Order: sequence, then structure tokens, then C-alpha cells
Amino acid sequence: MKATALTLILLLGAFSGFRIPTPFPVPEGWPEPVQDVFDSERTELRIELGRMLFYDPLLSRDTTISCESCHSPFSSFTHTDHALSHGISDQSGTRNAPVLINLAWQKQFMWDGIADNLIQQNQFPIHNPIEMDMELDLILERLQAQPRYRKAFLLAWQDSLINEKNLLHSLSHFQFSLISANSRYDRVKRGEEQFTPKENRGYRLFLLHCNSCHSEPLFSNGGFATNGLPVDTTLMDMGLKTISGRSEDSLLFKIPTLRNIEYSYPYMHDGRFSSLSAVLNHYSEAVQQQVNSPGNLRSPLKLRPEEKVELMAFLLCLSDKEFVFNPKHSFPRKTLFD
Amino acid sequence: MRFPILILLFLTFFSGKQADHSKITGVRPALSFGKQTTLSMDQWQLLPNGDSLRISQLRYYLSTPGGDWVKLVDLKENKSITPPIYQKAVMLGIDSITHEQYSLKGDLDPMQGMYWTWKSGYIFFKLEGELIRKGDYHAISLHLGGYQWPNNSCFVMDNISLDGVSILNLDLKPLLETLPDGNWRVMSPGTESRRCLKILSESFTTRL
Repeated sequence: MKATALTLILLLGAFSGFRIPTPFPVPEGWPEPVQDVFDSERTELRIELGRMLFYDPLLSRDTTISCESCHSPFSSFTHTDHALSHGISDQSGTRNAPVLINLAWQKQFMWDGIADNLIQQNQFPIHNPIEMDMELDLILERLQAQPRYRKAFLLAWQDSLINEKNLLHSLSHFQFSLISANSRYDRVKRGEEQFTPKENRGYRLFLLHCNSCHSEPLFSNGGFATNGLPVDTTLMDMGLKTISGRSEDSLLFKIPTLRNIEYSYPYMHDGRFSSLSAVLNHYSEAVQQQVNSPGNLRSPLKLRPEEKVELMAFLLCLSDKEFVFNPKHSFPRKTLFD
Repeated sequence: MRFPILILLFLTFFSGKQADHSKITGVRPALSFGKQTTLSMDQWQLLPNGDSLRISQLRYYLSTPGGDWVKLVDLKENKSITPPIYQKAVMLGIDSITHEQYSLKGDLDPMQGMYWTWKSGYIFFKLEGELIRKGDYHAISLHLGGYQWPNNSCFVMDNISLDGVSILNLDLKPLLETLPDGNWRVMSPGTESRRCLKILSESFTTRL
């Protein structure tokens, strides 16, 4: 009886989970992705399992913190609660959590680019003592003890013995599925809508002042740059230099995407600006020149007040509300395994 | 004959105005330290106990059981709030029924910056600021909440009715004086968060 049920489950898994791979949707006009979970096939069930894991606090030592704690869907998978991320026991981190969207187009992850693939990146917060402070072996034990996870892993991976690879691949498949490409900007580019004159002037200002680093259509060129901010003397975060050790990398931080910027406050690597207007004021009036500053940040942009308003109007066109409220990405009250 | 009509009109006018008063007039949130010291946002203020305090953010949720009426109060915006029409009991925070409804709209929109996660729910009370006590500097970050057992911290504010009042004052003295030195950072549901919310729920008063 048990064997028949198991066979049925495996058959169901074979049809619903493996035979219908989901193609990677590349939005029109976008480049080809540079990242993927290369050695496992993407399926709906694996993405769904990744979603369950992403929202589950059992991934942290005291079961209080999930990935979602710092990467909430409502803020484009970052957090808006405070400037610096915090982990278990209310410990404070040292950086502002980045948004988790369009990850397949990113060559490196984290503000200092320490990880060059998502499977590696996912392990940093899990092991970090001021974030989840957890060991993978213990997570596997906890998951194995839960019938719903045994069933989900069996259906998604045809293996009820939960292992590290399937855990990390599931998490990565889910995060790669977080593609945000339906903002007003995208609809204008597809010819479905038109910018207002103000937004259009803002777009031109954007192309002039911002596009070299925050390049469309991803609104990041994937590189590293200084942001003209003085170093926070408490955090002493030197960015890429922390990893490379090279003095020329001092205060270089990964250039974040501007997509969904309206939802992802506070801003900058240390979350020091709580509003978008504060960021614009910084680039307009307060940029500090550094030896490795990019050409257009050698001096403040000196935007006129009306130009700031126009630029802001354009930046708000990058908001993809449908994405942040998409139930496919939200907390799994009901899953494909139920 | 004209005289009684005028009196009648006069009475009608005033009785009407009085009846509207409780419905139309909003309640203005205020902040104090003790009974005498009014607190302002974003300003360093010397307190009667010798501390210096600067509050950069103070936001909290008021609601009625079941979530028919939910208001996010932001002391920085200085906006008055419209009291609930049908229910008298007002809570500091949001109860589990409202959480389970998963409304996510208006004041409950997670983009208001007062939502943790599905497990922790909404931040009921957020206080950010700085305090200097006995020469020592403390950054204050109190993000308080919790709707699930055993950390359920949504308390009814006893003896508080917003009907017909014009000021809802929160006295921060009881909270700030009971926080032990060094514990100025509470960022998740738990015993300390619950304790602080209990104190806060008893620190509100109203004025006509």
C-alpha cells in the first residue's frame, strides 16, 4: 500500500515536476542571462520548493529569521524596516540588504561582489553569525524531520533524502524566478504606453547623468563604482577593497539596479538615505570626489530643482507594482505540494 | 411669534454643531515626557530628568478588534486621525484577526515600512532616536510588535475612547525610564517587545 502511494507520488512528480521545464523568460530587448543553476533543470516544483524554503525561519538557528526577513517581496525583496540588516537576537549587520530581482543577469553578488554565483551566495547569510547563524547539516536534519518537506523534496527532486545540493539549488531556482520587467518604463518601451512630457525630460536627464552606471534595461551595468559618499567611520566599510585588498578598489560598491527604487528604501550600501530625494540631493550637491570616481561623479551634478523633479518622475516609472504583489512570489499559504 | 422661532433656530444650530463635533473633528496625536514637557520631532530636547532626547521617527498603529478601523499614526506628519464610528475599544497594534485577513491595503500596505514578515506581522510601534543619559550616548531603535502566541502584544488601551476628544497624547516617560541602560534596541517580537508595548498601551491619555 505504502509502495503504491510512493509510486503514485513519483509518477505525479515525474509529470508535473520534470517533464514540463519552465523556459527562462528573457524580456524583450534584454541581454541573455549570465547566471543559472547550470547543473540542474528548472521546474515549477523546484521553484515552489525554493519559495517554501525562502519564507521558512527554520533556516536560522533560533527559527526566527527567514530569507524573507531581510528580503520582503513588498519592497522588491529587500527591507524597508531599517538601514542595516539585522539577524537573529536583534543583532545588527553592516550593510543594507540589496534587492533580489533579475539575478540571472548579475555576474557577482553582494555589495563587495564576494560571490560569483547564487548557490555560493545563499550560504553566506545562512552561516553568518549575525544573520542566520546556522549550519547546513542542521537545516537538513530539520527539513528531514518534517513530512511536508520530505514530500516536497521527493516530488521536486525524486529523492526524499534531503541533501545540500537540492536545498541550495531549490533556493536558487526560486530567486532566479524573481524577474521584474513590467514597470511603466517597460510598457513604454513595448509601445503600450507613453511617457508624460515631465517623465520624458527626466528620462533624458537619466540618460545624460545616470545611465553609464545604471544602464538600461537592467538599470545596472553590473560593475562597481564609488558613490561619492564619505566612509562611515563606525562601519569602516571599504567595499570591493575588503575582498581584493587592492587600494584602487577602495570604496567601490556594486552598482545596484534602479528598478523598483520607489519600494526599496533606504538607499546606498549602508542605508544612510531614507528617501529618494535625499539620494538625488547627494548626487546633485554633495558628491565627494575620490581618486577612483567615475567621470560623471568627479563633481556634483548641480541639478536644478525642476530637473530633480523630472528625474524623480522618471525614476518612479521603474516601479513594477504587479511584481511586488505577485502571489507567485509571496508567502506560500498554499503550495503546489498541498 | 418671531422670537420663539429664532430661539428654535439658534438651538437647532448649536445642538447640530455639538452633535457633529465628535464625528467631524479629528484627533490630533501629541507626544510628551511626563505631564509638563511636550516633545517635538527632530529636535534635541533637555528632559526634566537630565536626559537629552532627539526623536527622528515615531509611528504606531491604532486599530479596533477585527480591523474594521486601522490607522497608522506618524508623529512627523502631524495629521489628525478620524476616530472609529462604531467601536469604542481602541488597541495599540493590530490583532491576529486583522493579520490573518492579509489586507495589505491603505494604512496596512507593507510599503508603509511597518511590515516585518508573514510570521512577525506588522510593527505596531516604531521609535527611532538618540538619547544622552549621564553623559552616555544611546541610539534608540525600538521596533515593537508580535501577533502570534506567545508574543501576542496587541493591547487594548484601557480607558481610552477617541469619541469626542481632540488630543491623543502619548507620554514616553514610563517607557524611557523603565528601559535598562544599553537595551535601546528591540527589533523583533519577544518578551521585551511585549513588555514595552504593555507600558506604551497604558501611557496614552486624551484631552477635549
